[in-house]
Amino acid sequence: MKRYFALGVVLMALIMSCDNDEIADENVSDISFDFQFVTDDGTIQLNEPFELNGSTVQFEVANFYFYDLEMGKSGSNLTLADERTHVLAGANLTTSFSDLNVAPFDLISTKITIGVEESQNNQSEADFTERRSDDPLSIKDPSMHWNWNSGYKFVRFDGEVDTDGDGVVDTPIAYHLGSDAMRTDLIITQDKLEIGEGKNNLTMVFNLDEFFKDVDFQEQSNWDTHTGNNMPLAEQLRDNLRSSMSISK
Amino acid sequence: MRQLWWFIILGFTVLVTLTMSCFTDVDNLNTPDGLPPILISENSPYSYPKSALGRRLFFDKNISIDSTITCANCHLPEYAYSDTTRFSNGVNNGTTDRNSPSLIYAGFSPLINKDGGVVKLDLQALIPIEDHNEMGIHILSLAERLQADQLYNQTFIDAFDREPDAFTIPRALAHFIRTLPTASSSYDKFVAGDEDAMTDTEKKGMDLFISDRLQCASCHSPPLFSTFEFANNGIYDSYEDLGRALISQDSTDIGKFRIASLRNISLTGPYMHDGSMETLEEVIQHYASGGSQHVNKDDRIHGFDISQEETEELLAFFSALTDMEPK
Repeated sequence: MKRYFALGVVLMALIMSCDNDEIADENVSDISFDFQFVTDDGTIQLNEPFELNGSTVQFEVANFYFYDLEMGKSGSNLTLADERTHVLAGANLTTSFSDLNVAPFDLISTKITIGVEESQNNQSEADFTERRSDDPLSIKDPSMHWNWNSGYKFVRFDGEVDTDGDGVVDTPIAYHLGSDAMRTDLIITQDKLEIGEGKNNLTMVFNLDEFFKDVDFQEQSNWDTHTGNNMPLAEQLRDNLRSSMSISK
Repeated sequence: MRQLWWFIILGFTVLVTLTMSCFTDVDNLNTPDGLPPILISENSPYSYPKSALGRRLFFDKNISIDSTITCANCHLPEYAYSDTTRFSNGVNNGTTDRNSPSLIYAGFSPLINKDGGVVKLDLQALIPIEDHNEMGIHILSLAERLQADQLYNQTFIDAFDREPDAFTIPRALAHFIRTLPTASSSYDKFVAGDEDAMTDTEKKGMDLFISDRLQCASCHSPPLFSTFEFANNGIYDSYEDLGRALISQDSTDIGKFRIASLRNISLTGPYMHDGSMETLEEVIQHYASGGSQHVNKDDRIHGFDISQEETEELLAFFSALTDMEPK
């Protein structure tokens, strides 16, 4: 009798564990993001020239920080990154949020804040030189920290533009947005995007036609902004951020 | 027997005190008499090995990308750790945007750089190290270079208990700079009670300096001869270098720069944030004229009459602010 009882317990345990696996498999376990920089003509690659606003340009650095990532779905929102969790985004970079264990859902909007949260955007006692190398806010190469100012470059594009029509991109251009005034909340909406069971890979698409909208690269005043030295251009780019981002699968 | 115990206790106390004082001399940063405490961050206490390491880095060409430039290229000890040119040259024929400042009293400044963009001395060295017009090397690349040098690597470990990295390199340099003040000028000796330390002409210049007519001391207050405020001193009607406004993004800060210490001022020309005035006579004439009409010009700059004799007295006083025992 004891033998049958023990067999029953083992069978029950096996059945229960199968049930658990089934529930876990049906849930969303991971959501990862990669980052793509595009123009209306297609995807751009770093270190390769392309046409933008009637000029030939090339970028070597295209990075930005965001935090406070929240996915909008019917009923409730899913927070992937809070205000303490920063993501360094850029071409060839990815970021993953794992062990989510939420039911599949249709993504209808995504909220992010471009920049670095205020209390961490400084060089106080706990400054960026102290952070571990795997911390997104630690010193990076190419640098995402200011060295002449306290805080981070929220958005950094560095490259060159052809200004004399000879086809050679040789005039340096640099767009570094930072400081409290440049922190920007974005709500990215799109048609329903199915976030299914298991692992999901999404692409955060950064549209350069939108980001550099109305920026004439032939004008010297548009060749750089380090925020404080060219606030009109920095504010224009910050405002353009709102229409620059989309999410695709 | 009781006397013997007292003798032993007294001897032990003297021994401990002497031992402590020896360590204090080495590992404590002694601010020269008459000056306020030097500012030190809590996360990097001063020690002699750290400052000695910083001194070595300061004079080492290997901290520039092509191993051609040291900190001392723009901050020469004989010029109170500044230089004599309007702008300074770095790697690849680069040129700085501002005049090289004296470093000797930088350890007292609450905010660093002429626009106050750096919040503590411990981080300041990142600017010249990484600036394409100065050292031109990323701090992580410099850390790798120093880690590969066995002697440097071990010296960093001995001083900081960690390898050369983005934290330790700028802090070593900062600790060296903190050791520079000596407060050994004729003025300091006079203030300490030696009435013969300053000449009569220098004393007349000092009286002018603090007079209601000139009001120099309202911005350049002793003992550091700076309030470390940011002020627009009216040298231009329009500023190409926005100064403090670059950091604050506030238009009322356009043309404001940190008020410089006048200690060692006779050695640190040319003057102003951009080295646009060659001599101290020019500087005095500028303030006597009342400066530009810039909307942000400081109220304390209002112009004054000054004779040639008084100008020379003022210049003599400035000479009395030169350290006599520089490091």
